[in-house]
Amino acid sequence: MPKQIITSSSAPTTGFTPGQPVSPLAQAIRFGNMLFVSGQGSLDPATGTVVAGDIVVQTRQTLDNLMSILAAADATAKNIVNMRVILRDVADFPRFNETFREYFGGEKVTRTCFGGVLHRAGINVEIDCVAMFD
Amino acid sequence: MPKRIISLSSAPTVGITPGQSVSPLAQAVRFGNMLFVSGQGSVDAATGNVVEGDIALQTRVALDNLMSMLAAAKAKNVVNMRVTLRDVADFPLFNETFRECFDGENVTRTCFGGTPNRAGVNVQIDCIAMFD
Repeated sequence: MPKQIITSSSAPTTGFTPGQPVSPLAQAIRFGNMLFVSGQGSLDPATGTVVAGDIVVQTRQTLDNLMSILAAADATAKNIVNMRVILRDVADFPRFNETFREYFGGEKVTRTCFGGVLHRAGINVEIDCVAMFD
Repeated sequence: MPKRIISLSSAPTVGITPGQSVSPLAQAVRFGNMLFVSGQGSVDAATGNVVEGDIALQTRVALDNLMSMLAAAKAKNVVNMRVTLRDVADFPLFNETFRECFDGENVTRTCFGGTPNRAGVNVQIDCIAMFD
């Protein structure tokens, strides 16, 4: 049962070192009935540049990127079992959470959210997830 | 093999926005032989209020909440945990309290300093458990 690399051209490449064109990461890996998605941020899928904006804009762009990768693996939000969220400023939590809620349309997941320092300047939220398949 | 939401009234609701009573989250999700539990903090299960106290007390409350979820799902085998400490200077006391709660059961764990989003919560713990 091999490790399968999942790639979506509708989501940004993750894990770039500045000046290096090739990332050491996969956007996602499927192994058996599990899918692991690398942390996504508010990046433009085409250009890889930061999509600036308030936490609502950044949360939407980040979740759009995450969902594009899930789609490339034939998964949706219904497959998500666990998410990790890092906020640069936890004062953003209420608006992050309400934007998150809109996206999930009643689909429930487990999630752990905490404040931390995101390595890319301008990125104020980063989200990864684990999804599972029937 | 559907995703199954595990909910429990004797553990606090997680992921509440202040002023909103309904969370977008599940306390735990079981899928097949895996159980994922949302990050638990030192929060009173009945009132949803932060349980104030030193890191030993907060660790006990957070782990009690987590263990309640595991019990509700009839899960015993914790395989992986993630811990966020607001102040890593709390690590030794946190770790000794953690040790007491686990009583010889070994798990994998990653611990780092970060900012739990809720004021007053100084430790947040989540886990993955597996079923035989």
